[in-house]
Amino acid sequence: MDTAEKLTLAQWDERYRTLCHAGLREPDYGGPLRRHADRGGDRRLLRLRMDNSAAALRLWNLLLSEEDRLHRARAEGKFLVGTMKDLGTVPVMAYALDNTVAFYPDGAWWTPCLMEHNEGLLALADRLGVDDSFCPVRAMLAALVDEKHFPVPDTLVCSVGATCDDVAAIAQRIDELGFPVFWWEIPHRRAPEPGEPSVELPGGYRAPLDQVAFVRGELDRVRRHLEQRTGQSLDDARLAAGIARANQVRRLIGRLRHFAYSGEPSPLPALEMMIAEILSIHYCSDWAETVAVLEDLLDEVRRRLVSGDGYGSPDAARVYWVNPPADLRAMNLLEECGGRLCGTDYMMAHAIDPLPEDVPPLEALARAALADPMVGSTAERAERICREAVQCGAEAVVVSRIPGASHCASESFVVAKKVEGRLGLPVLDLEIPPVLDALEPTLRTRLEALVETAGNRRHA
Amino acid sequence: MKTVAYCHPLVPSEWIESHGLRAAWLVPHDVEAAAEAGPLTGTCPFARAVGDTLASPDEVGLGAEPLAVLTTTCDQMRRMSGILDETRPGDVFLLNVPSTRQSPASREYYANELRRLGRWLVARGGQSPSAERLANAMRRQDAAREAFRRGERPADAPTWCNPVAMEFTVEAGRNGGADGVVLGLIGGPLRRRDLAVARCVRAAGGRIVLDATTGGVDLLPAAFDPTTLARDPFDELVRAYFDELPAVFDRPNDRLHAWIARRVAERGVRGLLCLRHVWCDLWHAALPRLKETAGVPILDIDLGDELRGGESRLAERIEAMIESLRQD
Repeated sequence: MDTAEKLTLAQWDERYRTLCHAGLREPDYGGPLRRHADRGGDRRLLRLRMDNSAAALRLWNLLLSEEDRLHRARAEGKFLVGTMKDLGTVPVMAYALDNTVAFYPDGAWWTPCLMEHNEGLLALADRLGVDDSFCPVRAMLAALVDEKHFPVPDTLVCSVGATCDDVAAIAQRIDELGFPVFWWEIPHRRAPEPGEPSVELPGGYRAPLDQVAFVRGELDRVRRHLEQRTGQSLDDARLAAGIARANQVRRLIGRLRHFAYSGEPSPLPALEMMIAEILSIHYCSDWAETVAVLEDLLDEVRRRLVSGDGYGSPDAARVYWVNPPADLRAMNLLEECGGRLCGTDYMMAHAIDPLPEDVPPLEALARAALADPMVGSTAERAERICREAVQCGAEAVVVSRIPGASHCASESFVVAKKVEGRLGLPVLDLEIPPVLDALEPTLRTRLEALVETAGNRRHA
Repeated sequence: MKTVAYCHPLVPSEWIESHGLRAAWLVPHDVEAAAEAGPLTGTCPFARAVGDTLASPDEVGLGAEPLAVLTTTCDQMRRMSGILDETRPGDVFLLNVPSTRQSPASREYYANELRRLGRWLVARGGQSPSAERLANAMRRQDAAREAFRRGERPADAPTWCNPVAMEFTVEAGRNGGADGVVLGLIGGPLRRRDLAVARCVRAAGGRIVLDATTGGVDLLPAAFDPTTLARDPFDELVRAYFDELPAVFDRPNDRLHAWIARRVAERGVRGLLCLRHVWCDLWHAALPRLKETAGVPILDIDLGDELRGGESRLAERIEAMIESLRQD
């Protein structure tokens, strides 16, 4: 029986051969991880430590083959929807259609990390007038223009309103550079007035019924746009089926989070868990494979929990992590410093909370869109972070700051105030650039200090 | 009379005044706290200054505990309202202004937000306005704006625009005859320290005849239609503001480009100065296209950087621009 171990890319070469000899069966996008670094240019893999399971191999291959699969989908005549910002709502609608694939061009924000800036996306974004005062999501602008990464989608759909200024500004720039954007409005989620009819949203927030109705109307515009562009009907029955499929993914991720974040020892590393969570937003362009990957991971996690296998010492500090880091390596670093994940808010909790299935489909999607932690106040988001931190026994909170992001300027201040005041937990505010190597000694020292502080509090 | 401070032109001052309250454009402190490292590093200096000012409002003449209306028109201000809501619960209203105007529902959403603002004002001592009182407030403001357009300068600081922008008109020689290279302004809201720009323009032999900064004297709601105003003043208010006022956060923002190009041509503007606050993504990303659509050169002035280094660098850049325009 294999035991859990984090491997370098070189160690994965040997591991891959061993798995193949043992009869590994892979999907068509499978293969050794090495090829992504050597042929695909994903040089960051050389600096990462990755879980040694076949399930993790499949996860990485799904993630790193996405651009190739999108090009194949285009060649097969599938309709490509580029959906921006909403993180998890419009893809549910798009995947309810036949021969339609939705993906987030925003996802290109990790390309400078994976390719260690060799792809030149941020430099091209600079030349297009979007410099490093913007968050790394500006890479999507360059990726659309240079067409060397994902294919140009058949339509672009972007939520705007209560969103970060970075995406709102960059998507506008995309529109004016000849990639027309279909805009839909997501309002700032507000507290209901006294006596105002309201509804509980997935995740526990509340919103006035009027706001939900407005968003439902906006999503109906999106529905009609998709119908018009694809020539298909997107009726309620289809949407309901799409919601059921989304919930299958969300439930799998929910179980995975439950086991991975509460298991002792931790059955899956922070890095693989982050990638698994992110599959929820658009299924990495392949719903069926996402389900299969998550089922494999869940099997592996259950197996490790039963056998007592996993990562980290029993006294690893339990850390709740806020925001996705611009460099994937940060998740390795947390564990190298003696921490382990016990909970997360990667800005997409609403893509993991199950969608209601007992209300009309557009109503369900509208409620989910309004449950986005980023469309309400940071204080409200911090309330949920506090609630979850208590539930998962967090001993510290890391707020990972995304360089240049409009929401990051004040959110660590608000989250820290709430978490420290309410729970007395230490909070670390870390800015993580797309390639953190130059800052690694500093980040390491700060994470080690956080872990030590958490440990001291435990023994106080 | 209770003061209600605001700092975005899509907050109709008439609506506040029709509730029997005093509307005042919020001119924040000039202290550059945002330059300091700390938990709020990366915050827009204007949003930060608004937050600081509302924490000690007496210093800028807003009274001890003013109410404030902030807007969702940029993410940083939206988030600042959340911070203020923690420190001054109930004193700050966040007006949700839709970024899209493609659907009638967005207009209705804005109208409903104004109605919600009205209820909030009433709960804080305001009086629910009759149609007549609203219409009168609108006529007063309309007349004041019209008088300004005719060249009259208001005796008191206006409540319908940023008063710093009004001072700017004097400093920058708006009505200074035919001399000087004619320039325009675009960008974020002006602060008092930004008057340095006006001084530099005058010193270099230019004058500013167009101010389309946020809260500027030219980026104003459309004149009210007297007939509609008499029939349904609230709907006319929504029309003049939401339907007519272009903004940098509009998606798409074609209206703003067309509006600027039209005004530039009408007033014979030969160059634009874009005054943007550090971290203002919206104006920053709008610039590349504006440079194509405005029809005149644009000087990009990052207010934090330029003014931190003193006025000399700013003066040199403005001087160089004006010189090059003279040679064209």
